[in-house]
Amino acid sequence: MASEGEQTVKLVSSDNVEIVTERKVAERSMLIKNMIEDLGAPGEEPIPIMNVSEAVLRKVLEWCTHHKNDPAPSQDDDADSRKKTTDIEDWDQKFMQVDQEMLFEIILAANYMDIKALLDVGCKTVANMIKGKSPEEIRKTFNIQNDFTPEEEDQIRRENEWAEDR
Amino acid sequence: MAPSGARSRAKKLSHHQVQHEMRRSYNETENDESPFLKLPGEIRNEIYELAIPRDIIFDINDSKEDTYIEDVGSNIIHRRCEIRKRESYKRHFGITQVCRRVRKETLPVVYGDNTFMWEVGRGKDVFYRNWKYRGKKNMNVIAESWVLSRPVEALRHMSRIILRLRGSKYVGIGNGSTASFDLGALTCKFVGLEEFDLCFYCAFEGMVMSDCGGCQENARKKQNFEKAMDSVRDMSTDEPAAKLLKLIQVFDKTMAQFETPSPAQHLEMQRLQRQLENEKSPLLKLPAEIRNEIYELCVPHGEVFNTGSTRDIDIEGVEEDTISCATSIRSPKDYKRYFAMTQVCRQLRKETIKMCYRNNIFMLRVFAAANEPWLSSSQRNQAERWLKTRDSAALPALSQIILQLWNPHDYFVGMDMVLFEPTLKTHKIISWADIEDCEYEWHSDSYAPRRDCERCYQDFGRLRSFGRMLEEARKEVKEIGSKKSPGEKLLKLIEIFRSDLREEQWWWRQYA
Repeated sequence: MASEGEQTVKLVSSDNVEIVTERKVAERSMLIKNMIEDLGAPGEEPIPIMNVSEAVLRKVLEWCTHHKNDPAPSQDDDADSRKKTTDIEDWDQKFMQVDQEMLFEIILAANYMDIKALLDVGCKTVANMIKGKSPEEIRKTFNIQNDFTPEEEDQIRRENEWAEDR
Repeated sequence: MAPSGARSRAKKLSHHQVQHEMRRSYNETENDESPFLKLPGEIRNEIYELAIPRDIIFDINDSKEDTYIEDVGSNIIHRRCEIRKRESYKRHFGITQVCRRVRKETLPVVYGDNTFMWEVGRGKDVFYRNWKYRGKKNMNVIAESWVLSRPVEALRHMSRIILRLRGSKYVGIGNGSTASFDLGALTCKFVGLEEFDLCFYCAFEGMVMSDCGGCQENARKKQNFEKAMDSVRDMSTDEPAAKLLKLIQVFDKTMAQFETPSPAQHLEMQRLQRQLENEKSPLLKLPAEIRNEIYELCVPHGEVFNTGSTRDIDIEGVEEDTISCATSIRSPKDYKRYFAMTQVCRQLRKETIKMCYRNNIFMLRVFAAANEPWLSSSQRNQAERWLKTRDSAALPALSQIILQLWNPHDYFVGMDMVLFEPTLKTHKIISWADIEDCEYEWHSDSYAPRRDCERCYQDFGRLRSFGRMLEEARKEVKEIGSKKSPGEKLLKLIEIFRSDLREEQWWWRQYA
């Protein structure tokens, strides 16, 4: 098993493009890891990644390559992450500087491929896009329209009153 | 073209008219000498074919908005068509006004090979009736007078008309629809009525949901059109003008049956459309569990919001285990920034509002002296007002609330706070000023009450009575019963504290 690091696996994206990558890199994804364990013989059988297109899969693998040597998160770390910090590592921050469509594709891919750490980074990026913004700015950012009824608008106005006229 | 009628009228002609008639008949015979009219009939016909415009849709109403072939529906007009405005009529129809013979020969071509279009259904539109057409010349009048002013043979030869079905201003549905009639076969094609298939209320396309008012309304409208067509088909008269007028009338009536949505309903329709649009937002498209994770990250946690003051208050004095995460008490102005998520759209509000109120602590100021003249009215009832203006989902979600009991006559020791769970099962006294420090005598370094200091003595008495007051308040609120909402309970609690504080104020004044 010493050569496990150099072993390669073949992934097939939703648009039928084959991507060969290191087994260790691919196994950041719990989906692929479980599949490899089920299939038994890695490298021979291509692994279909049904919901992820080539461009997104390459991007996800880029992240996995950078983080291939990260220690597996222990249970304690998981509990710690409840501290709700939205700090992101510098490299991850740069990695996530993509257009919004790609960002959400990455989040969905990370969710599908079961890469907890990448999903966290994605969620934090989106959370940072929301934090400290006014409702109007949030609407603009995520292409959301104001769909409150006049009564609801009124409720919100009254709700905000105490925070305003002083 | 009835010769007998012409003769009977001729008897009553005046001298002037007789002269005119003589000139006319002379001109008519003179016309036979025209080289054009001397051409054989079939060659003239060929020239007419080339010279007379065909496949043109004449817009009789000449509405302000431009009409395009797509609006009329390119699939109902097979050949290449164009739409002309009313002013082009004279130019294209000039040939029918040259002389009797040419008119007779060209009318069938002009009316038979072109299509006429007008609008129906705007008669009821207040906006159009009052403003555009000044009450008299509404759409139906225009259509009617147009039909009645056509020569009989022209109407006989008309093969196709198009009615643009215009609802009144607020009828979103049906405004772009047209009905194209084949007058010979009395058949009709509708264009644009597929809009009826999309229900604005339940957003189901092409289905009629039995429990949706919008769907049923649409189905009813569709039926109305079919009925209108049936009644036109059943018509017994052969008189073309009567037939046309009936057609216009029937469709005008059908359009009028559409209940004009009130401006409020119209706004609601627009709002629903926006709500449907929001489903396309990348954020709202994410799976719910990922959305929740994002909310957890961006909704503030463990902050204390002061509903009574714009100042950020340092809470170093507060025991750390009471309010664990907060480092300072947030002022109201932060509220909007931190709670923006609840004000973006309906879905986000629904999904985040409980989280916002559950994860944070709100501090309400209760003034003892509610009737003090120096308090403005907004200050007097600020706690009540805050509670009353919360969303119905917010108060049941509260996990902790701080009542700051504010006694204006007793500034230093009067800022006690009580931390409550809204269930009111537990409370904890957070004393703002250290009661053990006696500000009155300035011997705060002693950390122990001095028997000879009246103020120290009083503070201890006060602390004891304060505890007693809390117990009693809790008991009283408990008696209200568990059926009351948390908001009502808190309001009651504030009321109790206020009256108690007033008594207490009196109690300590006798020492002052």
